[in-house]
Amino acid sequence: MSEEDDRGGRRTPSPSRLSAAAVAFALLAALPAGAAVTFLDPLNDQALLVPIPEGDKRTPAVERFHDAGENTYIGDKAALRDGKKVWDEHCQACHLPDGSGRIGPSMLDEQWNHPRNNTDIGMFETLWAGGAGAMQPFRDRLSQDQMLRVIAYIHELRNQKKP
Amino acid sequence: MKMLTQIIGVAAALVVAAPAVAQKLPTTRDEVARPGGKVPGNPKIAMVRVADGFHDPVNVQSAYDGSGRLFVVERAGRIRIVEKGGKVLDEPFLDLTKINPLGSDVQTGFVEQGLYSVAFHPKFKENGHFFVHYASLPFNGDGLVVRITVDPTSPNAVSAEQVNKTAKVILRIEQPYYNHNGGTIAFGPDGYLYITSGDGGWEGDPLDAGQDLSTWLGKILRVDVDVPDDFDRPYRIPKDNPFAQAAKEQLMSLFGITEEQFSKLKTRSKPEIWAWGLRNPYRISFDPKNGDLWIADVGQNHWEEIDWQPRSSKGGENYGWARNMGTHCFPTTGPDDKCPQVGVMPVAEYPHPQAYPGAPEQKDGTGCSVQGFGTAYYGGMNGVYLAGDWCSGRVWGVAWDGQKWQLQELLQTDLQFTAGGIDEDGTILATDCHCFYLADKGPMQNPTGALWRVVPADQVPPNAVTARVVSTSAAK
Repeated sequence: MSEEDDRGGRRTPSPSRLSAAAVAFALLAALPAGAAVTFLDPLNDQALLVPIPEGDKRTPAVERFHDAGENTYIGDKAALRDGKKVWDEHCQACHLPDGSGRIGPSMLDEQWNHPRNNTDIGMFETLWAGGAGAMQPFRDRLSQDQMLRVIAYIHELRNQKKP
Repeated sequence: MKMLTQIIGVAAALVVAAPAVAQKLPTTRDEVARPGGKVPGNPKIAMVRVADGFHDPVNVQSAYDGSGRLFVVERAGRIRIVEKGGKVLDEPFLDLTKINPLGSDVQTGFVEQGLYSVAFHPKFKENGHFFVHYASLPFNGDGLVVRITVDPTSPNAVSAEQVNKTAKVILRIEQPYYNHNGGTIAFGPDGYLYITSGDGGWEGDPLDAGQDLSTWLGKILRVDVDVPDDFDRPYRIPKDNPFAQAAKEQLMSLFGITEEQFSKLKTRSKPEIWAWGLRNPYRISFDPKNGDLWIADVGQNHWEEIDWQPRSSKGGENYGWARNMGTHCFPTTGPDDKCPQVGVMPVAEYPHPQAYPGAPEQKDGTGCSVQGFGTAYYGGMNGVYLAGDWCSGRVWGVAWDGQKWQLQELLQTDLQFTAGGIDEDGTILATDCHCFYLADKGPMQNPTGALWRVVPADQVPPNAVTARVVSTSAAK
């Protein structure tokens, strides 16, 4: 797969024409050993290959997330500080500082443009692969560890909004 | 009962048999197309990638010189050539970052600034003239429209020396703020150069530029660039421009003058003006077949507007900004706000996720910034105007169905559309960037964008790369 393909294109014939079993098989074949979480493209539910990063970027939190889909940064104060930095730099222009949404949708309600976004895996999928239009893929801009930190911060924004 | 059925049957037949009428401008809000319609042919399309690796591509044009070359405009100030078949030439056709020894000539500080567009003279093949419109760094972001001439011995690359030797500034549009700069320059079927300019920026048109005939801001201008180089101006005012005579000094007559004649006195009007009341008509496009003009006028916070001007237009249309946004009031206050409709209505409009302040957020049929592509005559489309949205990645089709205007969402993609254009063979093209507002780290730092073409869904070539699209099952 070329670098350009990673950024958003896909080659025809599309995997949607393949059987579910074939997709599952391809997915299993493509996944690194030990990875248990299945990621799907938020736009079309097709298999999404998210490689576990190597070196410094392979943090325990990233490993845990790939393994069990669990975000260990939720409620972690230091991680939330970093998550806020990411939010302030990359997210708040469209979603507003409090997450209530303007050009981009609100992060505080239950109206998700991509239905799986009510889970951390779904949110990660949208960050990684990009949603429709201006919700671009952030895999060229953020590390997976940063994505988990900003997802934790979104939880914090949702908690702050609760009465 | 039987008779009622027969009456209904006859009525239905009458509806079916209603003769198609020629397209016309809406005169009421109800006649303006909104999402949810169906354009004739109900086209199924895909976006197929032509080439990629462009730094914030913001426009694409053909030279119509038979070469099949496409010219992709990069915001930083470069134009790249894509050869037939998709090969991108390494050396830029034009590089405005290198013409000035003190640094780039192009201001790109804000994402809406940069090199906006290129237009090739209708006789480009003979005279080598092409025109660019860009935010000038030396002129603090003012819009410069410049004619440059290609050296025939170097048709694919215009050197810095050649630019400096041949550059002729057509006009400089003072831009008070960094946003809403318009952008398109395009030759109409009449051979005149049309130049778009936004309302100058900020928000809410603080200068009231849209309705002010003494400024070029918020307008489409129309000039004749075919003048001798020693002519007193770099262009001539076409005699039939709507305000060509309005500002001319004359003796005052108060009697025997009709109301109509009085209404034509606009002593502060600019003679270059063709149409007015526009907010940010970044992308306009002439229908390659019938010469109609399509204007994608970017709206503010709540509605996006698509205007249509028939080839027979005499100019002078007022599209209403900043009195109206689409068919709505500015400022808009609610779903049924009441205000006079100023000037000409759009043929189509679509809302932002919030259609008015406090409105419930909607997902379907929305966007935030309309980017025009062009009019398609293939793939079941017989004159369907296509436009994309910068935020929602939607591709819209607008067309007259014989009775009324229709606006149909044809596709929702993951692309951040910046503009579109038309290939020599009529193929509709589009560009996308990764340069959204705060995500913008500068045109050379952002992830690169691509050039796409609109292909009938059943004619996608094998191994073609297509844009990711939202499938119905994933969206629900």
